[in-house]
Amino acid sequence: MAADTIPSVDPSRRALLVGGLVAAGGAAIAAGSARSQSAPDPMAGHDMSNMPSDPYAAPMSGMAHGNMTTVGLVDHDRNGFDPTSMLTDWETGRTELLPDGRTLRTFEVDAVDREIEIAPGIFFPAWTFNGRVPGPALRAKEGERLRIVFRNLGSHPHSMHFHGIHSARMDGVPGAGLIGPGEEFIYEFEAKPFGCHLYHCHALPLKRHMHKGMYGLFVIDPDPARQSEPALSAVAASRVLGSPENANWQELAMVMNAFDTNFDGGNEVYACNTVGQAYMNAPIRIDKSRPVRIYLLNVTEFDPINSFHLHANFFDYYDTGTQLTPTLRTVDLIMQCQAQRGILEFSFADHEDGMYMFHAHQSEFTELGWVGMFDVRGPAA
Amino acid sequence: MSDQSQPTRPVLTRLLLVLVPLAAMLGAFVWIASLDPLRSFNNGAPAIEALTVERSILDETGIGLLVRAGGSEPMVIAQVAVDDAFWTFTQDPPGPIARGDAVWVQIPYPWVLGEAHFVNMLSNTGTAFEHEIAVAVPTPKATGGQLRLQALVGAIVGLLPVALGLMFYPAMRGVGRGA
Ligand SMILES: [Cu+2]
Repeated sequence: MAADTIPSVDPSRRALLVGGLVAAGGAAIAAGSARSQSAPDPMAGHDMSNMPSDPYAAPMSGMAHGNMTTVGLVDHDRNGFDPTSMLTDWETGRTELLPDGRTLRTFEVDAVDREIEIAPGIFFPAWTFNGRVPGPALRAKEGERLRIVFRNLGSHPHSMHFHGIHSARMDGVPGAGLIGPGEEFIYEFEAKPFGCHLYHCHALPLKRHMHKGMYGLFVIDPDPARQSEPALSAVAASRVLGSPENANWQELAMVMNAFDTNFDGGNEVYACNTVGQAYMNAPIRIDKSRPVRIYLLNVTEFDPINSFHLHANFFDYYDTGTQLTPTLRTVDLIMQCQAQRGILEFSFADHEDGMYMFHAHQSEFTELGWVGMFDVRGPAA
Repeated sequence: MSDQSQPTRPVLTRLLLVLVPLAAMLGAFVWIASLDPLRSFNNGAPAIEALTVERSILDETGIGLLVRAGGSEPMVIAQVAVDDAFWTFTQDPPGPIARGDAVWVQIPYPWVLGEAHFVNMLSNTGTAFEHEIAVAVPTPKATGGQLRLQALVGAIVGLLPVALGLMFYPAMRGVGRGA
């Protein structure tokens, strides 16, 4: 075997060998049969000959790409919240009728320090609203009077800053509803505009208070009576939680978030509703005879955008949810920057039963936890 | 000094001269321990965590890492990510790793020949311990074939030159004699 037919002999090693031989007065030609240890050589006859040079090319037991997963399961009971029940757990507060005939809706929210398990075995010292991350998914109806009684039971100053229309005094920034530990503040404003919104703590530094877990959905359902066009009024009615028109929809609350567990300004775990890979371990059951509506919010810190991609299907997208006609029609991917949110509507009516994946289409986010499955079946299956 | 002879003390006195400072020393130990003077330095900081990769083996089963713990408390490897992707792994022996102990972490990851890989081990507190595999190549194994090859290389660089050199001995023995 000539030296130049050996594909990957380390040149420096060969030079050393040859140089040594020449210096010793030996025959340089002997180097031609010297074999490198650094590359597989089928001529050598030892056991590296059955090792493929490219592991991807060979069937290796236990090395399927399905191993891209976390190990173990999160203890949802210990966390005090379960990503599956969170999908449909809307906080509607309590209501009473005001003298002028309007509805007053009151929410009670406490800021609480709490250690939560964000991926199996990984614990994060979170700051929470009502002990959960994301905080309660508040839901109201357009035109209602809202009161949010906010108590700070945590160790740092916090606030609730609502994305909506309200006065400066109610904005949840320093000097306007940002309170210290042990204090209480009541935010009051009208529920408007209708849409898919959010609230979050606006204490400074904002980055830290955001990524520690202080955010949640704030959905305002449209008032069908305010729509003059019958078609739009029907769309509005379908969005009103508890209405007959709404009953057929499968509505899901999803918050795309991430956690910087070592506080180096980059996220270690990505998720939808906090727990990495939660909906891989417990796929979301979808009745394919009924349409699906997702209230989607991105609160991921440190990364400029997040995204939502649906497999084997397309959806209509209502950015911020403030319109009753779609912003985007028939897409399978949308992007959201931090605090951007919107409503996704789709149907699996014509699909065969099966597991349909959804995830961020930043592969890194996907493989670090933000991935899930819809378990699509008929109503009785 | 040698001309001044020490007066000889009674045995009991000499014993006391040892016992009194010894008792004082023991008393001081107990006092210091009860006082815990370092407690003011305890600021509630979390335990120090340390993981060191001592060996890495790349083969047809994936990536194997010999990992030694050096934390102030036993360490727990909660998850492992390779190239920013969570990956299944096994730990042998399993469980928390005491300070100074080492375990093998086996990751069935399809590594790519000649390319770089980053292994990130996350502890239960979310602390990240990164290990870079700069150029992925299969780890040589100590087999009969491998040892024969290394013996051959040793013979080429060690024995062959000497043998060849000695072959010149008869000729060189005559150099300078024929003057
Ligand atoms: Cu805060």
